[in-house]
Amino acid sequence: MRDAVATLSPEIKAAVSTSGDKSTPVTAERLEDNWRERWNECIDSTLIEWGRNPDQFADPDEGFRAPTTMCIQAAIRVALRLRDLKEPPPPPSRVVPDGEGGLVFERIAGDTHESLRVYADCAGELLTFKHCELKSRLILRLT
Amino acid sequence: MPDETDPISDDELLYRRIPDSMHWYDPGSNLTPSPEAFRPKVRDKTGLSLFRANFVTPEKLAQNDRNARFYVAILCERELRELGLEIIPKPNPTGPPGHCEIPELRYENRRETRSEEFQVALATMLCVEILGPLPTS
Repeated sequence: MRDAVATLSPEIKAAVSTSGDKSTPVTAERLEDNWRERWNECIDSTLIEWGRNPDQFADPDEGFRAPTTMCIQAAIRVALRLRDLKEPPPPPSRVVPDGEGGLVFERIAGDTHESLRVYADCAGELLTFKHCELKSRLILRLT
Repeated sequence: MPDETDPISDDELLYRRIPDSMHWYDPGSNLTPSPEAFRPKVRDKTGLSLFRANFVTPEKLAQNDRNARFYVAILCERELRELGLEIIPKPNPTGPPGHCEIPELRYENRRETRSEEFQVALATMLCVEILGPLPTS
């Protein structure tokens, strides 16, 4: 039986994939440029737009308060600061209002979930979860 | 005839309304809902609100006269209980039938570690399905 097993060849598989990945930047520099561009989109398309009309998120019937102007301005400063780092962090997967006058940058990567919270009073907090377990909580000074 | 005060059984499905206006869920993305959809807000003083599928439909739950659109997340009682969350019936005569609450998730403790972890778990692991946005009338 051992001989028989030894002579059976495993299924032949391609050793190297030849399909090109055109969407992934090929160098770290290009990756960083791509992330900077996505931070820009976050600032221009989301935060500045919200600043023009924050009341779209106010809903007294549900008890939701719109992000405060102060909070949106602080969030823009945070986004600019992160974008301009020599090695910028990956951009958020989304930005959402928290319904309490603040907002949250959320980044999801596999089983890791990061929430960078900017509260209504401009206090900041970075929470990192792994498998839904809170691994770290960092208080941020945003002023 | 089931009563709204009856204990919630393991196989019951539960609904959580998610307002479309808050961007907490986008069916066009490949992302699970934001944990914000399960974070107690100022009105959740005694617990996070859910509704029992035995008493109300998702369509009925989404109806309102403000033209506010909602998604409805479907959760399974057993999975919540296995995670350590208790759900208690709490009928509300002025709201949709089948109202119940998770007493552990309250506004006052929303920033505590255990609450934060439950919010992420509910959003990322426990939604069986999300319907909507559903018609408002």
